[in-house]
Amino acid sequence: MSNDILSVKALRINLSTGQIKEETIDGELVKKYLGGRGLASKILLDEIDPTIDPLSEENKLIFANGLLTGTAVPTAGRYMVVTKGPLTGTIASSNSGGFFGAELRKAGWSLLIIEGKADKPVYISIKDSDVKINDASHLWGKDTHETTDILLEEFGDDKARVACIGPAGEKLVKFAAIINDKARAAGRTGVGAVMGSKNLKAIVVRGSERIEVMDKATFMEAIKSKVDIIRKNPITGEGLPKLGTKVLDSIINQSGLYPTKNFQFGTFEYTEEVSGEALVNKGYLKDNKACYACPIGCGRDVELPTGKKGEGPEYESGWAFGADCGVKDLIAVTEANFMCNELGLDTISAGTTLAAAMEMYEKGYLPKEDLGNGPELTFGSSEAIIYYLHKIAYREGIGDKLAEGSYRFCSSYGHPEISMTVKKQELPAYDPRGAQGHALEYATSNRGGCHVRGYMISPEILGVPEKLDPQTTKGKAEWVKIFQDLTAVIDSAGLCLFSSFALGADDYAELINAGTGFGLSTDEMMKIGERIWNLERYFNLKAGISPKEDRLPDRFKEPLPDGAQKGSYAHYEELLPEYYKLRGWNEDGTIPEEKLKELEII
Amino acid sequence: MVKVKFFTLLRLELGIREIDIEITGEKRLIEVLKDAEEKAPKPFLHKLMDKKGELLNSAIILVNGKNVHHLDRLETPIKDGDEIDIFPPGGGG
Repeated sequence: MSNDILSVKALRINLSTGQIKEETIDGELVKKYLGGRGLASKILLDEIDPTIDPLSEENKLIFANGLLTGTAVPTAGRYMVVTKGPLTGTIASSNSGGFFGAELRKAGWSLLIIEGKADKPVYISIKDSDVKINDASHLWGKDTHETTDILLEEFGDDKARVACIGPAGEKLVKFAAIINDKARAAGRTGVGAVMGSKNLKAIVVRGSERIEVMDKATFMEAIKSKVDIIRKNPITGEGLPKLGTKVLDSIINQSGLYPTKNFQFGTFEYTEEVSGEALVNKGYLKDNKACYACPIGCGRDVELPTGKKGEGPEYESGWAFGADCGVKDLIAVTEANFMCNELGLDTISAGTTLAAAMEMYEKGYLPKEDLGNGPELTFGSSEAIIYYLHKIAYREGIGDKLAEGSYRFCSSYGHPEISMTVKKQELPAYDPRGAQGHALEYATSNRGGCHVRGYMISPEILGVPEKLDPQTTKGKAEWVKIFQDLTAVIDSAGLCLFSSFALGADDYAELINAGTGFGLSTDEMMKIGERIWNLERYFNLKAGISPKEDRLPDRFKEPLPDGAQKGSYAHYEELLPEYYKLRGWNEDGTIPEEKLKELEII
Repeated sequence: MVKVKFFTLLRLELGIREIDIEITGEKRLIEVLKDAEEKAPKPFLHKLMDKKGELLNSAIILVNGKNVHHLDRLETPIKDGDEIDIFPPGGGG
């Protein structure tokens, strides 16, 4: 079978009928959307009614490799899961690393389009072009580690790769994740629940083909130069390998935007107990770990004094169970992270939902009798985070309500204002009052509360590519647009966003061109990103998501009470009109037809 | 007394959290950092500066919580009682 990089093939698998079809994606679509996030979002827009129930069989679940996934391009191991999200009702896309995506691409497949619903639990096996739907009744109920181990044994090849859901996905927890390689997560937006709604437990894949490009010499030269840049950069070459993403705990805390106790405060007095430095100094970190083709190696191999081993926690995960829940016990925080990997849960939404519940309880809005026999849901309780995380995954007791996410949970008790969400997805580990551009990214992200799709923390706090004052608003709307468009390109190329601490837009254009011969200018490449961003918003508007949802919780109109940015509040509303104008949108945030035509979306 | 605090990789490499520097009146940040480097187990300024001695955009130095890129960079005046937090370039997400 040809595995040319431009031979973009999809497997269309209908779980209702059992039909498996091979399709080749039109080359013109690949030029317009690249792959991954872009291509899958276009297919979703074309093929589903955006108003459907995300957990109905009409929804489609698309596993999408980036255009460069599986090649030797540094960090080219990323893939995307794209669907309509049950947590937000928006287009949902979730990015993951590890090795699963690359293996799928080596099997010859850029896309898996999963349709319908199986009438009983199944898993899909893929060995190059040999694709089967198999009975998974013996796997249903098992966690992701057990599932992976059993499938690798049955498949008879320990070099195969598995992506699966745990009990949380089976129970349709609204923020259930898909876990691949036991510890990498397509975490956000509830993609795991969509997989569970289709009775699809897992996908196991083995691929044997090298991906071919036309001009191998130019490709390898470009690859070599970018690997060199990444290795020499202090962030990608030193900070991330040695400390992982938890290099950020102290930075963000001392900078005064480390959300603490459900975003009530901007600093956590016990940061030293749960920081990246603590993970090393307490002896829990054993080694770093890399994904496919990655020279950075930000993953953490960890062993706790309790004997439990696993990967992580990442910065967001450690924060969500740590400072956001007021917990200073690094062992409990790490165990909670391990649980999320095994049970298949998004760590950010899980931890932030617990934090909201803690504030509800402490304020008397959540009655004690609703906790059943569970421990008090108070900030700082290690016991509570472990106990209620388990209840969430299995939808037991109060866990059934918590499994709906913090917005629905808090609303059910009459206090939606306690939920720190945008478009019903929980906010990640940066208080928006501490970085005005980042506040705008939160408000406008197409998948709700999300930091990665326009990571303004990079210029506003970290000084990459240059240092911006986090409290100014001048020029920030344009920065947000550029970051959002570039991120869409990187996601669609199948590369890791961390490469952007070292590489710039020109570098990505060079890599894409070297692999494909597309001959894109950097501006043309950024136009692709703009197209993808607008397509996602168009889907959302058709799904009934109003531009009025481009807003943050009212808490962020109150000033930060502590820390380096004490007194600051979020000014994103002042930036919205400028942002809409820069985007070419109407004043009310809708997209005019001319813009959709200009971008060739319609 | 000026507290010079080390975080992230610098803390791991130097093996210390803080160096205290006595100053009278005002001193430029670069002078205080050089004083701290003399007391530190190993040199560290090269992690924060380029070859010309300019502060890296991605080096984070906070004086009383404010990033010196928005003050006077290495010329930022330091007085008794100030806290200086130092982070070599870091990133994540």
